[in-house]
Amino acid sequence: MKKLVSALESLFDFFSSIKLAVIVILGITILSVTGTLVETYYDRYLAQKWVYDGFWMYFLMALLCVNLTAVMVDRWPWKKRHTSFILAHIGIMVLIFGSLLTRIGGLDGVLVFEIGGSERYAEISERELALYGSLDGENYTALHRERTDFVSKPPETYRYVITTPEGSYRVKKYVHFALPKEEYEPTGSGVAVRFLLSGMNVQETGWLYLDPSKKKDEVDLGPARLVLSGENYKPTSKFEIIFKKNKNQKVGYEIYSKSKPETLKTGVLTKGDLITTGWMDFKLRVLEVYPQAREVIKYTEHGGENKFTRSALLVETPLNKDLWVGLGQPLKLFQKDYVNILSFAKEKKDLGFALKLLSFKVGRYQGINQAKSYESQVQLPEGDIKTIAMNEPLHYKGVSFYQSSFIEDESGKPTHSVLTVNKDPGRFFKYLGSFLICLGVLFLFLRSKKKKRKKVNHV
Amino acid sequence: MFKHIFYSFVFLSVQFLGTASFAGSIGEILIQNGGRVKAFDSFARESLLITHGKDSFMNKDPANVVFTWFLAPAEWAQTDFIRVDHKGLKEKLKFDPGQKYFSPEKLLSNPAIFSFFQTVRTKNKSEDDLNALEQAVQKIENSISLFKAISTGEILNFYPPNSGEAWLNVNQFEDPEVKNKFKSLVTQFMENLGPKKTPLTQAGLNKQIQLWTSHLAGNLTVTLPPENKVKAELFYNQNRPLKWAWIVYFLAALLLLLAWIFNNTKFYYSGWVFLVLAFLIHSLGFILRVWISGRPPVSNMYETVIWVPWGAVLFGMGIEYFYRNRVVLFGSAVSAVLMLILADSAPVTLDPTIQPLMSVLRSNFWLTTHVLTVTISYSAFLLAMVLGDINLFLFFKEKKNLKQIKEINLSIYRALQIGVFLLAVGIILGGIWADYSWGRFWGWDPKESGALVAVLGYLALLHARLVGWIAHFGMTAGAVLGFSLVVFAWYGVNFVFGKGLHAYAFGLGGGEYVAAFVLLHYIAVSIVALYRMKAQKK
Repeated sequence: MKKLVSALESLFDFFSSIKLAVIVILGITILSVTGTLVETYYDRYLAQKWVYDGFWMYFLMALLCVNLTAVMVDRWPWKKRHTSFILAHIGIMVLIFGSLLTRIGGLDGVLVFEIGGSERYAEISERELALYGSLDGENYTALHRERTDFVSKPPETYRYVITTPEGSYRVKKYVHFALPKEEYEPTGSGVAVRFLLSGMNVQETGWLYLDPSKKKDEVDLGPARLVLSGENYKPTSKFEIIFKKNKNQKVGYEIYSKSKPETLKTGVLTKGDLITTGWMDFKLRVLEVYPQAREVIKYTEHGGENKFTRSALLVETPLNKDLWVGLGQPLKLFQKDYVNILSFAKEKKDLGFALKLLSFKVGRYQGINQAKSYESQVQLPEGDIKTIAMNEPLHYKGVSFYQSSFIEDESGKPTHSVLTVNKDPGRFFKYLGSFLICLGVLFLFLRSKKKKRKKVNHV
Repeated sequence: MFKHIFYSFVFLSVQFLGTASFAGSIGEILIQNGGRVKAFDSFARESLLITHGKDSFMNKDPANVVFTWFLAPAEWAQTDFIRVDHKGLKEKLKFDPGQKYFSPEKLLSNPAIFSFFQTVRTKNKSEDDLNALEQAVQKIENSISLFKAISTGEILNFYPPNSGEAWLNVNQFEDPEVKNKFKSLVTQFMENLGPKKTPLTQAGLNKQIQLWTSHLAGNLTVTLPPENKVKAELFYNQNRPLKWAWIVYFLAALLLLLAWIFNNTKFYYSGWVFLVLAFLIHSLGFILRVWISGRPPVSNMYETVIWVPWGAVLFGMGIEYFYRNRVVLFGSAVSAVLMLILADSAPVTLDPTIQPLMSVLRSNFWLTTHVLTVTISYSAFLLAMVLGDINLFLFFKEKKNLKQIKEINLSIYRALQIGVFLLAVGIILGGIWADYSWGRFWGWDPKESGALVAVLGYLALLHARLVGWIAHFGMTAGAVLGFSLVVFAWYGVNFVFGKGLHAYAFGLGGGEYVAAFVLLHYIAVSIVALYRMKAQKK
């Protein structure tokens, strides 16, 4: 018994020691530095998963709270001179508690909507693996949804399997920075054309691909344009070549020039053709034509982040074929009498109501394109119209909306507004904790001043 | 009330110092560029800084130089003035690696350069990081395109439009009166150039500038910046109050050093006088800058580098007032000299020009408060570091100097307390701002983490002192080494690890010097530590 008591005592001494405090502080310092480095050399998501949301962060925070509690118990009964010490330390714990609440019950996402559009789902940084199924190709039901963390639990050690009557899907590999490359195969429901346009010392080669769900695909070459379109495409007044699939399941072409409304030339594409366009010395070479094409996106690992990289999964499918699924790029799989959509995407949270973006304004600095300010006009479900601007958030039904950025098209015209969506149940505690810390530090100053007056040199 | 006093002060200073003549330079005319209307002098200096790496060319009036790019583009195209530093790039382009400046023509006629331009464009398109060589290529391309845009007049936006916001460039002038006025201005400018210059031609140019300016002012469709402000900007450009500030700080530091060595009161008080004088000049420069740019004074690296020593001097004077140990004042003067020389001597890395602000940083009380608080806490840490450096020397004769070491350590301790207090409060204010503006209190953004790292490091130091883990030497060493955390948060996060939400302050360069600075401190502390260990063994 005595032994136990003395063991407990020495344990308490350990937990209430300033030495432990120094170790914990240094530990958190090291974690913060590590996190910053990870974010620099990789990205934010990995820093979050590896460091800030990782085991050691939780462990050190818990240890800090134990240490602070023990040290305060140890000083009992408290005297006046302990004021700053108590306030600051309770403040820190309240702050940590607030952060924990945020982590558990908070929402931190983004809402991206088109001008004129409505949106009720906010995207968060967690990722979801889902499988949807449909008999008619129009109405889909979710067969499987799962929050995944391939960074902490890689598919090499954890099994990610979705079983369906047709067979099972299994994630084989996760690549965090993957560079997509489109490839086209000659069997599918789309149309693909590979071309080479040359003339006037210019050469441009590329693919055009029309997915059945889309109206057109185009390549804009400044004054000229190449369009692969469905039935109802009207030529604009440009130098334009239009590719269309005709009734005989062949791909035809129509060439237009800027000045005349009628076609300069029409015909059917065959692989290897060289077509003179009639625009100065421009010639069109048909490198490949697939009237029944399918787009396959393959990914390769990339050393780090750039504009085109995204995370991707290599998945074993019931089609006896391994396929790539990129983040936010759902994959449609056609089976005998069934369609599956396999999706790997950022998780979306339903806000419970939709906001409509009525209009979006950008103010620019005089004479240049740099944005000076921007604001969104949104409509609430009840019909009220509110403005969300930089530093002017909207609070509605416990959720706050902040103007964070916008997306513009190539001509610099804004197309989407991006709002940060936030619900923070820990907010009150964070402010309270902050206030206590500041108060505590302030008291420390008052005390040192008093001491000085009394000529007590405590240094 | 405060605002009123502030403006009166600025106004009086401008009136007083502004009597100095800067009349008769083409730099006085206005141009719209970089999101604001400013004096052509500022534009010319910025252009030279980008292309030439200095804000003047062969000690000539920068405005004259840049204006002649437009008037005599063919000659400038053959003049070696575009700075290329990267040795590896010069080798690959088969240039003489010893040559510093190259003409646009020489660069563009190099057969290898276009493939480099292409690589950089491709990388920029996919937003891949550029390596040092590619950054140098990018700089060349920027310099050449800036030279082209000026020499063709494309960005010489000298006259406001009838409607809209973008000013007309010299090729877009249509109003015959404007055309004529500009033509006479140019003619008189040429008359007054080089050996032809006489008091008469100068007077003619003055008149033409005045005519042009008053014609501009007569255009009622736009509001121009007030004349005083333009004058203040010209004054600021040409007289460089911050350069004078460090010179006077340097004198103050010398006097205070002498006062310390010889224990001389006369030197001490004259040191005070010079320090206060330097502080006033420093403040004037700072206030002018705030007034010209019309925004919080700490929105880029350069501005923080001039703001931090201001705080260090302020704290130094405060601590000296209470403790009278003399070394603190010397330390704060040294801090100011170091930082202001740094600000003055690296214009390419620390861009001193006034650029438009990102929209998120515009007019926000919490933003200004949190940045000012955080950066002024760096002042206290800077002061502590310099005091620590001074103390390191005293440790070579530890027994003899013990009393003084303790005194300095007390000042260090106070400085660290001030720093920790301000940094903690600053971080919390930053949290409040982030919550108010982005909807989250804390997000482990690199700049946030950096500041947290600094405050935690110093907290560990202060706590370690409480337990008795560190004594005199530990305190001194801690103050010196602790500053590397501030360097991490202040410089490293922005310049070395350039990512995150605080992207507005990002820049490039200087890494090797900063690393050397940090390393040198580690070496110094290690040497003193080894010396002490040996001495104790004996």
